[in-house]
Amino acid sequence: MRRWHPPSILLWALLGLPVLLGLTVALAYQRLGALNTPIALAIATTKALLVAAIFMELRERRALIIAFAGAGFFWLAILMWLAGTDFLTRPGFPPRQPPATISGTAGFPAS
Amino acid sequence: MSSATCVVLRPIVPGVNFSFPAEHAKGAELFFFFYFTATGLHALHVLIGIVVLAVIARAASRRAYSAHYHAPITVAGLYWHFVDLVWIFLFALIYLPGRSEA
Repeated sequence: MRRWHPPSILLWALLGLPVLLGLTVALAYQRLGALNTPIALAIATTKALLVAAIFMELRERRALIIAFAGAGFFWLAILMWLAGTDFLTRPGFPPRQPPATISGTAGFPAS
Repeated sequence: MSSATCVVLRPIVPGVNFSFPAEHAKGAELFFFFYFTATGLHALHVLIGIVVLAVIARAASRRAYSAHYHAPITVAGLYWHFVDLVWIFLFALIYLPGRSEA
Protein backbone atom coordinates (compact mmCIF):
# COMPACT_ATOMS: atom_id res chain seq x y z
CA MET A 1 0.00 0.00 0.00
CA ARG A 2 1.36 3.37 -1.03
CA ARG A 3 1.87 5.78 1.86
CA TRP A 4 -0.31 8.87 1.58
CA HIS A 5 1.02 12.29 2.55
CA PRO A 6 -1.23 15.31 3.06
CA PRO A 7 -0.60 18.03 0.49
CA SER A 8 1.96 20.55 1.77
CA ILE A 9 -0.33 23.41 0.72
CA LEU A 10 -2.50 22.53 3.74
CA LEU A 11 0.47 23.26 6.00
CA TRP A 12 1.17 26.55 4.20
CA ALA A 13 -2.46 27.61 4.69
CA LEU A 14 -2.27 26.60 8.35
CA LEU A 15 0.83 28.81 8.75
CA GLY A 16 -0.55 31.64 6.62
CA LEU A 17 -3.76 32.12 8.62
CA PRO A 18 -2.04 32.97 11.97
CA VAL A 19 0.36 35.28 10.08
CA LEU A 20 -2.61 37.16 8.58
CA LEU A 21 -4.24 37.18 12.02
CA GLY A 22 -1.12 38.81 13.51
CA LEU A 23 -1.05 41.31 10.64
CA THR A 24 -4.70 42.31 11.05
CA VAL A 25 -4.36 42.68 14.85
CA ALA A 26 -1.17 44.77 14.44
CA LEU A 27 -2.82 47.00 11.81
CA ALA A 28 -5.92 47.44 14.00
CA TYR A 29 -3.76 49.30 16.53
CA GLN A 30 -2.38 51.71 13.91
CA ARG A 31 -4.08 55.08 13.59
CA LEU A 32 -5.35 54.79 10.00
CA GLY A 33 -8.64 56.58 10.53
CA ALA A 34 -11.38 55.43 8.18
CA LEU A 35 -9.00 52.90 6.58
CA ASN A 36 -8.92 50.59 9.62
CA THR A 37 -12.21 48.83 8.89
CA PRO A 38 -11.69 48.31 5.12
CA ILE A 39 -8.17 46.92 5.81
CA ALA A 40 -9.50 44.56 8.50
CA LEU A 41 -12.25 43.34 6.16
CA ALA A 42 -9.81 42.98 3.23
CA ILE A 43 -7.53 40.77 5.36
CA ALA A 44 -10.58 38.83 6.59
CA THR A 45 -11.59 38.27 2.95
CA THR A 46 -8.08 37.06 2.12
CA LYS A 47 -8.23 34.60 5.03
CA ALA A 48 -11.69 33.46 3.93
CA LEU A 49 -10.41 32.86 0.38
CA LEU A 50 -7.49 30.82 1.77
CA VAL A 51 -9.88 28.66 3.80
CA ALA A 52 -12.32 28.29 0.90
CA ALA A 53 -9.71 27.55 -1.77
CA ILE A 54 -7.40 25.29 0.22
CA PHE A 55 -9.19 23.76 3.23
CA MET A 56 -12.54 23.48 1.47
CA GLU A 57 -10.70 22.42 -1.72
CA LEU A 58 -12.70 24.78 -3.91
CA ARG A 59 -9.63 25.50 -6.07
CA GLU A 60 -9.92 21.99 -7.51
CA ARG A 61 -13.63 22.19 -8.22
CA ARG A 62 -15.70 22.98 -11.29
CA ALA A 63 -17.18 26.43 -11.83
CA LEU A 64 -20.67 25.16 -11.01
CA ILE A 65 -19.59 23.96 -7.54
CA ILE A 66 -17.74 27.22 -6.92
CA ALA A 67 -20.90 29.10 -7.90
CA PHE A 68 -22.93 27.12 -5.37
CA ALA A 69 -20.30 27.71 -2.68
CA GLY A 70 -20.35 31.40 -3.60
CA ALA A 71 -24.12 31.38 -3.08
CA GLY A 72 -23.48 30.02 0.42
CA PHE A 73 -21.00 32.78 1.19
CA PHE A 74 -23.40 35.35 -0.24
CA TRP A 75 -26.06 34.00 2.15
CA LEU A 76 -23.56 34.38 5.00
CA ALA A 77 -23.02 38.01 3.97
CA ILE A 78 -26.79 38.60 4.04
CA LEU A 79 -26.95 37.02 7.51
CA MET A 80 -24.19 39.27 8.83
CA TRP A 81 -25.67 42.33 7.16
CA LEU A 82 -29.12 41.74 8.66
CA ALA A 83 -27.64 40.93 12.07
CA GLY A 84 -25.70 44.19 11.93
CA THR A 85 -28.43 46.50 10.58
CA ASP A 86 -29.42 47.85 13.99
CA PHE A 87 -25.78 48.51 14.83
CA LEU A 88 -24.95 49.96 11.41
CA THR A 89 -27.95 52.24 10.92
CA ARG A 90 -28.09 54.05 14.26
CA PRO A 91 -26.94 57.63 13.91
CA GLY A 92 -24.18 57.06 16.46
CA PHE A 93 -23.82 56.98 20.20
CA PRO A 94 -23.53 59.38 21.84
CA PRO A 95 -25.49 61.65 19.47
CA ARG A 96 -23.20 64.01 17.60
CA GLN A 97 -25.23 67.02 18.71
CA PRO A 98 -25.87 66.62 22.45
CA PRO A 99 -29.56 67.36 23.07
CA ALA A 100 -29.08 70.26 25.47
CA THR A 101 -32.75 71.28 25.47
CA ILE A 102 -34.14 67.89 26.42
CA SER A 103 -34.87 67.51 30.10
CA GLY A 104 -36.83 65.13 32.30
CA THR A 105 -36.18 61.48 31.50
CA ALA A 106 -32.71 60.15 31.06
CA GLY A 107 -33.66 58.55 27.75
CA PHE A 108 -32.39 59.48 24.33
CA PRO A 109 -34.44 61.73 22.05
CA ALA A 110 -36.85 60.01 19.71
CA SER A 111 -35.34 61.48 16.57
CA MET B 1 -38.86 49.21 28.54
CA SER B 2 -41.84 50.89 30.13
CA SER B 3 -41.98 51.31 33.86
CA ALA B 4 -45.12 49.14 34.11
CA THR B 5 -43.27 46.26 32.46
CA CYS B 6 -40.40 46.80 34.87
CA VAL B 7 -42.72 46.60 37.89
CA VAL B 8 -44.11 43.31 36.65
CA LEU B 9 -40.78 41.81 35.68
CA ARG B 10 -38.68 43.02 38.62
CA PRO B 11 -39.52 40.15 41.02
CA ILE B 12 -39.10 37.59 38.22
CA VAL B 13 -36.04 38.87 36.40
CA PRO B 14 -33.52 40.52 38.71
CA GLY B 15 -31.67 43.37 37.09
CA VAL B 16 -34.28 43.95 34.38
CA ASN B 17 -34.19 47.68 35.10
CA PHE B 18 -30.40 47.76 35.37
CA SER B 19 -28.88 50.88 33.91
CA PHE B 20 -25.27 51.75 33.33
CA PRO B 21 -24.84 55.52 33.58
CA ALA B 22 -21.88 55.96 31.27
CA GLU B 23 -21.27 58.19 28.28
CA HIS B 24 -21.48 55.35 25.75
CA ALA B 25 -24.04 53.26 27.67
CA LYS B 26 -26.61 53.02 24.86
CA GLY B 27 -23.95 52.31 22.25
CA ALA B 28 -22.43 49.64 24.51
CA GLU B 29 -25.85 48.07 24.98
CA LEU B 30 -26.40 47.95 21.22
CA PHE B 31 -22.93 46.54 20.63
CA PHE B 32 -23.25 43.82 23.24
CA PHE B 33 -26.64 42.70 21.91
CA PHE B 34 -24.86 42.07 18.61
CA TYR B 35 -21.79 40.67 20.37
CA PHE B 36 -23.55 38.07 22.54
CA THR B 37 -26.03 37.06 19.83
CA ALA B 38 -23.27 36.57 17.27
CA THR B 39 -20.74 34.86 19.55
CA GLY B 40 -23.45 32.77 21.25
CA LEU B 41 -24.82 31.53 17.93
CA HIS B 42 -21.28 30.85 16.75
CA ALA B 43 -20.45 28.94 19.96
CA LEU B 44 -23.50 26.75 19.35
CA HIS B 45 -22.25 25.90 15.85
CA VAL B 46 -18.73 25.21 17.16
CA LEU B 47 -20.21 22.82 19.75
CA ILE B 48 -22.19 21.04 17.02
CA GLY B 49 -19.00 20.82 14.95
CA ILE B 50 -17.03 19.35 17.88
CA VAL B 51 -19.68 16.65 18.37
CA VAL B 52 -19.79 15.88 14.62
CA LEU B 53 -15.98 15.67 14.38
CA ALA B 54 -15.83 13.46 17.49
CA VAL B 55 -18.33 11.06 15.93
CA ILE B 56 -16.33 11.09 12.66
CA ALA B 57 -13.05 10.48 14.53
CA ARG B 58 -14.58 7.57 16.41
CA ALA B 59 -15.87 6.02 13.18
CA ALA B 60 -12.49 6.60 11.50
CA SER B 61 -10.67 4.87 14.35
CA ARG B 62 -12.89 1.86 13.68
CA ARG B 63 -11.86 1.98 10.00
CA ALA B 64 -15.32 2.94 8.79
CA TYR B 65 -13.89 5.01 5.92
CA SER B 66 -11.85 4.05 2.90
CA ALA B 67 -10.60 5.53 -0.36
CA HIS B 68 -14.00 4.69 -1.83
CA TYR B 69 -16.19 5.89 1.03
CA HIS B 70 -15.24 9.07 2.89
CA ALA B 71 -18.08 11.50 2.12
CA PRO B 72 -18.89 12.05 5.84
CA ILE B 73 -15.34 13.29 6.47
CA THR B 74 -15.58 15.69 3.50
CA VAL B 75 -18.97 17.01 4.54
CA ALA B 76 -17.96 17.43 8.20
CA GLY B 77 -14.79 19.22 7.05
CA LEU B 78 -16.82 21.58 4.85
CA TYR B 79 -19.13 22.35 7.79
CA TRP B 80 -16.21 22.96 10.14
CA HIS B 81 -14.46 25.30 7.73
CA PHE B 82 -17.66 27.21 7.02
CA VAL B 83 -17.99 27.80 10.78
CA ASP B 84 -14.36 28.96 10.65
CA LEU B 85 -15.23 31.41 7.84
CA VAL B 86 -17.99 32.91 9.99
CA TRP B 87 -15.51 33.47 12.81
CA ILE B 88 -12.95 35.07 10.46
CA PHE B 89 -15.46 37.81 9.64
CA LEU B 90 -16.96 38.03 13.14
CA PHE B 91 -13.50 38.52 14.64
CA ALA B 92 -12.79 41.42 12.28
CA LEU B 93 -16.19 42.97 13.04
CA ILE B 94 -16.31 42.66 16.85
CA TYR B 95 -12.72 42.62 18.13
CA LEU B 96 -10.80 44.93 15.80
CA PRO B 97 -12.87 48.14 15.49
CA GLY B 98 -11.82 51.02 17.70
CA ARG B 99 -8.43 49.56 18.70
CA SER B 100 -6.44 52.46 17.30
CA GLU B 101 -8.45 55.01 19.32
CA ALA B 102 -7.74 53.41 22.70
